[in-house]
Formats: sequence, C-alpha cells, structure tokens
Amino acid sequence: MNVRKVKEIVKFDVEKSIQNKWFVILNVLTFICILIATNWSNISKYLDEHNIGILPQEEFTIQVLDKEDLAFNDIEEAFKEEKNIKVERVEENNYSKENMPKDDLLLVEVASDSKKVISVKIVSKEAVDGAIYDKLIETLVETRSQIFANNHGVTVDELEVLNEGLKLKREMLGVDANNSETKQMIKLIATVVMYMCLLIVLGRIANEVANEKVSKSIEYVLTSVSAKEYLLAKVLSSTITIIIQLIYTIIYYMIGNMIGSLFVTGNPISVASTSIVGQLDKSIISYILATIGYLIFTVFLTTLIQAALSSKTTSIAEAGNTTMLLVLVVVALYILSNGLIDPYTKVTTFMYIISCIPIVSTFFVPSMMIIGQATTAQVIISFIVLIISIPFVFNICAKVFKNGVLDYTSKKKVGLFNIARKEKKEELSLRERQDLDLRKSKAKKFAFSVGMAMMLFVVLQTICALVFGFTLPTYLNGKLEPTTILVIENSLILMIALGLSSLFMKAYSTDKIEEEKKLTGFQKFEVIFIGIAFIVIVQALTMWLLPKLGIDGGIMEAIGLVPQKTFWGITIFVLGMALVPAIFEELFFRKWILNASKKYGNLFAILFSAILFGIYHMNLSQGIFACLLGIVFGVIVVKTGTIKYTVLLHFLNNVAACIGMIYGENSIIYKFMFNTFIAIAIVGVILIIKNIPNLKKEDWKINQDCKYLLRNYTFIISLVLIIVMFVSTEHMIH
Amino acid sequence: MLEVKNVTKEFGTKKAVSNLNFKLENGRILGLVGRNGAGKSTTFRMILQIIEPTEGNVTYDGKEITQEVLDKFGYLPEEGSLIPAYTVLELCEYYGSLKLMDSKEIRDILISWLEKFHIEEYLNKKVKDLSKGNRQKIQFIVSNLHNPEFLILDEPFSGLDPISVEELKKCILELKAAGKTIIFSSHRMDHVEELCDELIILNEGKTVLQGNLQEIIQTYEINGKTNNSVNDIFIHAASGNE
Repeated sequence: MNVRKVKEIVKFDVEKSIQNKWFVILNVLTFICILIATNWSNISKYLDEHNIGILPQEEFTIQVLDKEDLAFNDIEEAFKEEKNIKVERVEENNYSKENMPKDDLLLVEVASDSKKVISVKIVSKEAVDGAIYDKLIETLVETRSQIFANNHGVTVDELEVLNEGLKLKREMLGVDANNSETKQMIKLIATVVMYMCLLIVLGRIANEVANEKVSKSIEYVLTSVSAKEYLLAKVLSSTITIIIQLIYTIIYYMIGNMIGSLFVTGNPISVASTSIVGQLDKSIISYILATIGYLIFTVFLTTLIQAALSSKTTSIAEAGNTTMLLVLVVVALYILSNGLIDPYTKVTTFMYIISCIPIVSTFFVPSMMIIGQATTAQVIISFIVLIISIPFVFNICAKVFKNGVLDYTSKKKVGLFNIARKEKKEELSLRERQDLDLRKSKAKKFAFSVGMAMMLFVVLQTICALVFGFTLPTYLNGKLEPTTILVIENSLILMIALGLSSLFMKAYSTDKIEEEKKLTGFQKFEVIFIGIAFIVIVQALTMWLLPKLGIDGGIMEAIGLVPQKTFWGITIFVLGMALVPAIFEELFFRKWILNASKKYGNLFAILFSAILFGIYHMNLSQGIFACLLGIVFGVIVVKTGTIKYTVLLHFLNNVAACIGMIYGENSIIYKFMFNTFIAIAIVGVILIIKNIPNLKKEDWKINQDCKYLLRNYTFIISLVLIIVMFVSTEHMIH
Repeated sequence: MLEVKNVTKEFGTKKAVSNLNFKLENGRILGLVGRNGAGKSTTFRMILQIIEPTEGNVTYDGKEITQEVLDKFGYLPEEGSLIPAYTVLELCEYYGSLKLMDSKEIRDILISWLEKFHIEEYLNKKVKDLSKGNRQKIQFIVSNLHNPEFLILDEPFSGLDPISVEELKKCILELKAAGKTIIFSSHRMDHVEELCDELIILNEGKTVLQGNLQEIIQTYEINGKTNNSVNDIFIHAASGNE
C-alpha cells in the first residue's frame, strides 16, 4: 500500500470538495441558521423590547356581551394598558356574516353554564391578531378558575394543584435516570447527523465513482494506484470531508454561543465553554464518545459498501439509486432499534447477539445504553467486532470494486440460476441468441402492459370508489333510492376503471387487431345459440360443482341488491348491472387482454384472459363461473374475431341474473326466461356437436415463450396484488 | 526492455488475446495494429496490470510489473478517460498527484505542453467544453505529464485534424529521440510506416504478423511480390491470409 499516493488523492479530493462553491453556500446558510438558533432568546428579547410582533398598533375593539357581569371587568382590566384596544359592553349580538366588520372587531359572549362556571363564545369575521386572541383566552381562563374557586370555597392556588395532574416518577435504580433524557437527545442528534453525513457522503462517493467509471478515467487512475488504494483514498476523503463539516458546525455553534454571551456580563469564552461542558457528567461523556465512535465507523463502512455498489452501476443515476438503497437500510435499522428496545422491558439474548453485528450495533447499543441494559463488555465486544469487520469488508469491497469499475456491460447475469441457462445459450448461434433476446424482451413488454393495466384498474377502482362513494350519495340522496345510487356508482366505477385500463392497453400495444370474420346469417345465429347453450351448461356445472367444493354460491343474494319495481328503477338496474359490465368487461378482457396475448397461442390467450376475468370477480363462487364462461367467450372471440357476440351473450347472462334478483327465482318472468334459455340451449348443443369438426387442432397451441412473462416485476407485483385482494375479499365475505 | 510472454486473455469462452509473444528494446517504437476488436486495448491493459492475463506474464527490464514500474509508464487510454466536470488544470493536478508530482511542477509541464500544441487558452477550460481533437491532445499531455520512460498510446491520432496529426507525430519522434520506448496502436498504416521500428498485426486475438518493419516490407509476399505498402500488407494479413 503506497501511503503517499493515498494521501495525495485524499488531499486533492478533500481540497476540491471544500473549495467547491456549493460547499461554501451550504456552510454560509448553516452558519446563519445556527447563529439565529443559538441567539434566539436574544433576538426575541430584542423584538420584545422594540415592540415588534407584540400587540398590533391599529385600532381594535373588543365588545363584551356579558349580561350576568361575569368577566367584563377582568377583560377591561387586562387590556387597560393597550391604548389602541377598546373594550366596550354591548347588550346583544346583532352581527351576521354580512354586517360584521372585517378585522378590527371581536365580540365575546360570556354566560354561566350548567356547572356554574362560564361558557364563552367569540365571534369575529375572520381570524384576528393572535396576540389579542391569546391574551383574551388567558384572561377568560383565569376568570373561570376564579369563579370556580369562589363557588367551591377553595383558593385558586389550591385549584392549580389539581390541574397539574399526577406526578409520576418511574425509577429504575440500574438506569442513569438523571441523564436519560439528555442521552435520548444525543441519540436523536447523532441519528440526524448520521443521516446527513450518509446522504452527503454516500451521494458524493456514488457520484465520484460513477463519474470516474463512466468517463473511463478510472483506467488511467488504475495505472497509477491499485484498486485498493483508490478505494481507501476515496472513502477516507469522503469521511474526512464530513469530519471537516462537523468541525465547521461545532465552530458555528461556538461562535453563536459566544456572540450570545456578549450580551451577558462575564468573559465570553468561559461562559461559552462552561455552558457546554458544565451540563455534562461522566456518564454522558462516555455516551457521547461511544456514539461518535459508532457514527464514524458506520459512516466509513457504509461508504465502503457504497463505493463497491456504485462501481457495479453504469450511470450516475443508477449510482444514486444505490445510495437510496443504503439509506433505506439504515432508516430501517433505526426504526427497528426504536421499536425493539423498550425502556420497560428486558433485552433478550437474541437482541444482545444481534447488536454485535457491525452497523446494527450503531443503532442498538446506544439505545440499550440509555436504558442501562448494555454492559461495558457488550459495548467493547460490539466495538471490537466493528473494527475487525473493517479490513474484512474492505477486502471484499475492493474486489467487487475492481471487477465492477472496469466492467462497462450494462446487463449482467448474476447468480447460480443462470449458469445452466447460459451454457445452453452458448450453443445457439448469434442470430438465434438475438432472436431469443428479442422474444424475451417482447414477452417482458407484454407482461408489463398487462401488469400495469391490472394495477391501473385496481388503483382507478379504489380512487373512483372513494370519489363516487362520497359524492353520489350526497347529491342523489332523496332523489333516487339507495339501490339505484349504488348501481350508478358501480357502473361509473366500472366504466372509468375498465375503460381507462383498456385505453392503456390500446395505447401501449403494438399488435395488430385481428379483423372480424365475415359470418353468414345462419352462422351468426349459430354463434348465439351455441353461446347460450354453453352459458346454461356452465351455469349448471357451477351449481353442481360449488356445493361439492364447499363454496357458498349466494354472493349476490348476500349483497341484497333489490331495486324498486318502477320503470326507472328497473331500467337503471338492468343498464348498470347487465349492459355496462357486459360492454366494458368484454372490451378489456376479450378485446385487449385476449388480443394482446394471442401471440402466445390461442389457447394461452383464452386461458389467460379467462383466469384474469375469474380473479377480477374477487370471490370464488363468481370467479369460478366467470372463469369457465371466460373460456367459452374466449373461444367465440377467437373464432369470430369480434366481441359483438360475446357482449350480447354476456348481457343476456347478466339480464337473467338481474331478473332473478328483481323478481325472485320463483316469479313467472324468471321461469319463462329460464325455460327459453333451456330451449335455446338444447338447439345449441346440437349445433355444438355439428361444429366440433370445425375446431382445428393447430389453433390450440401454447407458445413456450409465455414462460418469460414471469420475468417482469410489474406483472409479478400485479399478480401478487390481485391474488391478495382475491383472498382477502373472499375472507371478508365469510 | 518490455517482454510479453505467452500472454492469453479469456473473457468467458471468448479469447480476446491468445498466446501473444514479443520483446521491445528500449528506445524503439512498436506499432500494434489490427481491426476493431482484435485485442489491442486488451493487450495494453494487461501490460499495465489493469486486468490480469489468464495465462502468461509481462516483465519490464526483467522485473514484474509492480506499482513502482508502472510509475515509469505513461498511458493514453482509448477514448474518454478525462473527467468532464474538471478543468484541464484540475485534471492534470489530479492525475499528477497520482504520480506524486507537486502542483508547481505539474503546472509548469502542463503549460509547456499546451504551448507546444498551441492551446494555452484551454488551461482553465472544463474538459466537457473541449472538442474531441483537443481532448485527445490533453490525454496525450496527461500521459506524458510525469515524463515517463515508457509510453503506451492507444489510438493517439483518433479525432485529430491533419495539422495536429503532424504535430503529434513530431512529438512522438522527439520523445523517441529522447530515448523513450513507445507502443502505439492505430488504424492508419501511413502513421505506422512513418513512426514504427517494429510491427505486430493482430487478428481476432491472434498474432498474424510480427517483426521488424523494414524486414517485413522486404520479405512479405503478396501474390509472389515483395516490397508492398504497409497498407496492403495489413489488409492481406488481417483478412486471414498467412
């Protein structure tokens, strides 16, 4: 290790960063802030003396409506000194929004209340000057105490005793209770300082490493120093910059304090130093030393890790992301330490072990010290582990750094899982490999679009439910019956959420939309009949299947949606419950999802859209039915190339359900409809048998590329989301 | 004397350089030529110990290449290698400090070099504001800042206008006259012909032709003829003919 070179780099870096104009600007601002903060008492005293920020100089009137003469005298007395404030008695409150003067009048109504003390109402047009208001309230509170005291034959002082509440002192003899608040404060300050340091240092080192890597100057640098020397120099220079910043900050504090003490008689320096040192005792000093020790080593270690991470990145923006990653880890540790270490419970052995881990110890041990549960041995052991870990971490980081910083390939396969795949890839020719990469990236894009559309749907649905759930009932209550409002709300939500998600799919997809196949009149009729036959079959199947699986089928009955049997009630119900879902669900699932997933084979497209359609219903009984129906509809869409027929079939299916809900399943109209469906279904089944030879085998393949869909983060997270939603909704229903 | 013995570098299964052997006497100039991706920059990086060879080793004056040896080397990397946010002076101070030079020394040498290239006004300009050719000149200056005895120049002429090319050639010949050893790579055979004593032609990591430039010109046969131009020799050799 060439110490001189490391020193030279450190010198150059530190000089460059502290002579930077932003460093100076930041410091001037910090200096001013600290100056103000340390001299705040003097500043406010000055402001007080010069009547700045005290009662306003404009004319102001306080009118008191006090028929029982409870508080008028006190108020008058309180404002006697203020020449510009007039207190006058009035007999009644004639003010309204229109005739109340804007900002120079305030009316106080005082009356006795049921508990024989006073109740007060203060009226003004808008907000009035805070100083006047505060003084008025203070006066009234005193008056109230006085009245209460007189009523109960006690003095105001005696009353005060009660107001103070219970004096509670929890004493743990092993804990340095006198200083625990100070230590908490120190811990908080240390944490804040650490975050500031980390944000600055990590950002700085990430930026520098990325900069030298991207500009390739690292190549030149590495001919002069080894990777280890370079890494050490960079980390040291960042740490030293921070230490310099800390020194500056302490100096600002001292200057501020000394300026403050100029206003106090006595030797300024001695006052400043005694004011700092005077408050400290031995236990606090050792606490501060330990905290600073942890802080410096942790910053050093984190910086090392940051440098190694940044060397892996290929742009400055990416390096910035790694900084956020590290800061998040540190924040998480801080929150954990606060949550796990409770002043009144004993620290477990597990926690003792955890708190020996470097970086973790920085947060855990000081917390344990505050509650007196960290022994000296504990502190020493954690320090030793911390120090031993440094060369260890340093060597690992230097290795990672050297490999990373010379590697400019932006995509890198890491991990064990890729070894087998990689070897297989090597066998392919360049053209085949490129083709594979292209297919993978297409699959990932598709997965992203579906995942995003699903997430968009859920988010839009939630937002719409919130918005319409609040607004619609407010505007329509009384005008429409609750069921109708609910139906309108649901269909609006559905239209917006599914409509916009469909639009997203449309805007994002580059697949060509298959043209509608020309059908003869008889074929159209065939499609409808076959569709109805399948609906009946699926319905029968689910009715038979659900009880066997132990699933309760009566979800819609459970919701209890029954509209009023008026023309509008029924029309809106049918439109909202049958037509809107039919159109928008078909549009989203059968048109966009199915169309976009066709490139992975028709069978995949049908199953994929059907499964999503099933999950979308968010409960098992409807979901299974919808999934099976989705398969039928999918086949129809693939065969006809249009969603026209499925919209109609979907609508018919929903209408049947609606009629069942409105009139009940024993009504004549429902039975009529049911029987018609059965009749059509019988014809449909015959047509199905007739059409079986038309199903060509090659139409029903699954393209193997669909396995790459699971390589996209957005898709996976959207799947997690809807599955969790499904399960929790299902749980909620029961 | 620089000695490269049986050096091979593999990246995964790809051989970037395979079994490279050469010796370069002090005070001579070696031209390393080859098509794009032939392994020239990889060879330079291995000589400079930035990357380790998979097999073989490199020695200088019979010694392993350690950090002390590297301090006698000057390196002009292929492209970039200058931090865009720094001024020319800051940059040279940084790189100079890596070679343990003091700042007065750095400033004096830098200014004399800038004068040589007639670009004195760039002293306090930021690298990102310079044109490609001027950056290349600054890179050349950086590689010479500490007065190295051995120079590695990767594509030193790239981005330079014809007048600057002549200036740079003159500098290189002056450096040779001062006893420096130089290796450089180039795509331009006229540069090679004017400057080199020795020549190595690489193709896909393999050495296809190697030796004293004049001997090569006199003995290399293309269609039974000798005394061909270096350009023809390069095209003939680098396209896979032996």
